Amino acid sequence: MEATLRLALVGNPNSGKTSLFNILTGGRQKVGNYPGVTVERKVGVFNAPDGSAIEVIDLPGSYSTDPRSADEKIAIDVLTGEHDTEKKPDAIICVIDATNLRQHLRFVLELKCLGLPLVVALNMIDLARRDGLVIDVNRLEEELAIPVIPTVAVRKRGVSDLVAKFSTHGWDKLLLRRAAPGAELPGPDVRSLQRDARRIAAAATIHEGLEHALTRRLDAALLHPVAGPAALLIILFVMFQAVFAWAEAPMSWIDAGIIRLQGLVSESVPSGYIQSLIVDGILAGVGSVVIFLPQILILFAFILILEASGYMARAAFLMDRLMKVVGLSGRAFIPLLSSFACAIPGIMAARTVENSRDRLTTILIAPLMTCSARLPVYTLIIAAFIPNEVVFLGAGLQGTVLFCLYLIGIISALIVAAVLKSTITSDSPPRLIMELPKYQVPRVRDLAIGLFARAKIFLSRAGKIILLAMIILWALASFPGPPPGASEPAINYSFAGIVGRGLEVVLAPIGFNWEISVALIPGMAAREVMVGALGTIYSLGGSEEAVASGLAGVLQGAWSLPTALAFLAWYVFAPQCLSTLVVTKRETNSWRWPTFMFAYLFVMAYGAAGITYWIAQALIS
Amino acid sequence: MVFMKQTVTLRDLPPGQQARIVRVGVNSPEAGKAADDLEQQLLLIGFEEGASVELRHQASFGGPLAVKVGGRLIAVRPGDAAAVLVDPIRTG
Repeated sequence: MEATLRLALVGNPNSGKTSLFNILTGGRQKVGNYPGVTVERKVGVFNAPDGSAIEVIDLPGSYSTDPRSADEKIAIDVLTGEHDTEKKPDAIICVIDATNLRQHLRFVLELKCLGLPLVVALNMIDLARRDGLVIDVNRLEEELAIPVIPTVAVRKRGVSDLVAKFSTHGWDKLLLRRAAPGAELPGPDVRSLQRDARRIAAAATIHEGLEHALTRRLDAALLHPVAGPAALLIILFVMFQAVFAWAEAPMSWIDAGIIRLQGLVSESVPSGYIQSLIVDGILAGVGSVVIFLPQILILFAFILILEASGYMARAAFLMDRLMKVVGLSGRAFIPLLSSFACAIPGIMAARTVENSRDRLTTILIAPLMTCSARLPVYTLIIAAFIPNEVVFLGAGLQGTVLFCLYLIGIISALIVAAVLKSTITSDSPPRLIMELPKYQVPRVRDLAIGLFARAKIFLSRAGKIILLAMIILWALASFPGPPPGASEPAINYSFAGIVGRGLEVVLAPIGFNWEISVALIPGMAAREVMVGALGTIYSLGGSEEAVASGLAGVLQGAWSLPTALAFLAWYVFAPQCLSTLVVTKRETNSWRWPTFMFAYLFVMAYGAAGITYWIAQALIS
Repeated sequence: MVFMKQTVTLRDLPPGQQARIVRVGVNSPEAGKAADDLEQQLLLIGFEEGASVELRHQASFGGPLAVKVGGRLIAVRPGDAAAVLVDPIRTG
C-alpha cells in the first residue's frame, strides 16, 4: 500500500528514539544495505487507526539543527529537504527523554523554527516516574504550543496515542497547530534557546527526580581509573571467547545438515557436471559460509547489547587517553568497535567523528579491526592447526589465539593511525565532548529486531554474491577438463589452476600455494568467500574424502603449519574486500583514499605473512 | 571549614565538589574560531551558565573527565574543560 504520510523520527542521541521506532513499526522496517548500529538508513511503516499506511524514517541522533558532524548533517538535510535522495518529510516526531527535559527541549524549540508540523514524544516517562520525577504534560503542551504525547518505548503504552495523532482526522488538527508562519527564519542563538528551554522545563516539572542510583553505582566501578579499564578488557575477552565457545554446537548442526544435503543430492542426481555444480560448487561453497552465521550473530549481539545498555560510550571514555596518543579521540573507538562486526557500518559510523581529518583516519584504519567476515577464515584455520587445549583459567588455546589475532589488528591500527596523524592527516588534536547515557537493560525486542536484520543481510549475501562467486569459481575450476590419461587432479588443468599458478609466483615466497592464490580472487567479493572458495577448490581437486572429513581435515593434510600461520597473518590485514573499498570511495568522495587503503593493506598483509612464514620455517627446521 | 568563594575552571574542580557554571567559553579577542567552536559545542551538549556541575570521574593518565551537569553525565577532556568557569558551592 502506498504510504499517505511520511514522518521523520528525530531526537538527541540516547532519547530512546530507536526503541520507539522499533515498537512503532515492529518488523515492518527496512534497514539500509549494511549491517551496523548507529548510522544506517532505517525506514519503516505503520498503520494509523483509519488504516492508512504511514512511513517513518529513523534519522541519526542530533543535538542541534546546526550540524556539527556528517551524521547530524544527514538528519538536518532530510528535515530541510536538502538531502539528495530522501524526500522532505511531512511532519516530525521529536523524541525527548523525560528525565532530561531541559536539554532535550532546547532541540524541540530549534526544530520548531523549521516550520514543519511537529509532535513531541515524551519518552521514558516510566523511568521518570521511577526516579520520582513528575511532569505536567498539559502544561508542557501549552508552553510549547505543539502536541506532547507521553510514551514508554518498551511497551505499547502511549505509542497507540501517538499513532492516533496520525489518523487522517488527527492530521488535520495537527496542521492547524503547526508553527506560526514565518518561523522558517534562522533560529535564535543557543543561549536564548537554553533560557527558554529551562523556563519551560521548570514550569512543566511538578516534582524533580532523583539521580539514577544504579547508574551512579555502576559508574563508580566501570569508570574507575583502575577497575574501569580492567572491566573493559574482561568484557572484550569474554566477547571473543563466547564467539568461539557458544557457537560450537549450532555450527556443528549446520555442518551436519549440509553434509546430509550433499549426500542426498549425490544419491538422487546422476553424477556429472550438474551433480558436481550442486555438491562441490553450491553446497560446499555457500554451506561453508552459512555455517558461520551463529558466530556472527553472537558478535553482533554483544555489540548491540553494549550499545543499548549505555556501556559503549563508557568504552569510548576509557579509550580516549589511548586514542589521544595516536591523535584520535575516544569517539573513534565506537566506529572501530563496530568494525569488528563489519568495516562498512564502521566506516559509516565514522560520520559521528566531527573533525574531517580524524574521520578520514578512522575510516582508513577501520579495515584493521577484524571484521566478522574474517571470522570464518580464522576459525577454520585455528580449528585445523591449533590444538584445542586449555591453557589458563579455563581459557582455551584456540580462543586465545583468536584473541591475539584481534589484538594484532588493534595494535597495527593504532600504529597506522599514529603514522597517518603525524603525516598526511595531521591537524590540531580532536575533542571528546560526549554524553554518557544512563545504563539501561537492553530491550529484547530491539535486540531481536537488530539481530534479525543482520541475519537477513548475511544470508542474502550468502544467497546472492557468494552463490554467484561460487558458481563462477566452480566453472573456472572445472573447465577445461583434464586431458585423457591425466595423472594429476582435474583442477590442475583448469582456468583456476592456470591463474593460481600465475599468482603463486608472487605469493609463494610468503608460503602460499596455488590453491590459496586462486581462492584470494573470489575473496575480493567478500572475505568470507575465501573459505567457500577453498571448500570448492579442495572438494573439486580431491575426492569424496574432502567432503566427508570437512575442509579443516583437508587443510591439515594440505598445508604446513608455517603456511597456515602466514595465512592467518595475511588475514589480519587482508586488503581484499570490494565493499569496503567502495564504501570508502563513497564516504571520502574520491578514489584516492580507497586506492591508498588497498595499497597499504596489501603491503602490510604481504609483509606480515612473509615474516610469519619465515620465522615459523626457521623455528620448525 | 572556612570556604572562600573563588572562580576556578572546571578542570581544577576537585572531585565531588558541587559548583555552578558562571561562564562557558573563553572571552578573549585572539581566541579565534577554534574557541568559538568549542564554546558552541559545550553549550549544545548541555553546559550552560547557571547550571550546577560536579566532577565525577577522571580517567587515568590525564584522560577525560566525566562531569555531572544538569542531571546528565558528560565526558570532556581536561583541556576543553578549562573553557568552563565555575563557582564552587559551599556544602555541609
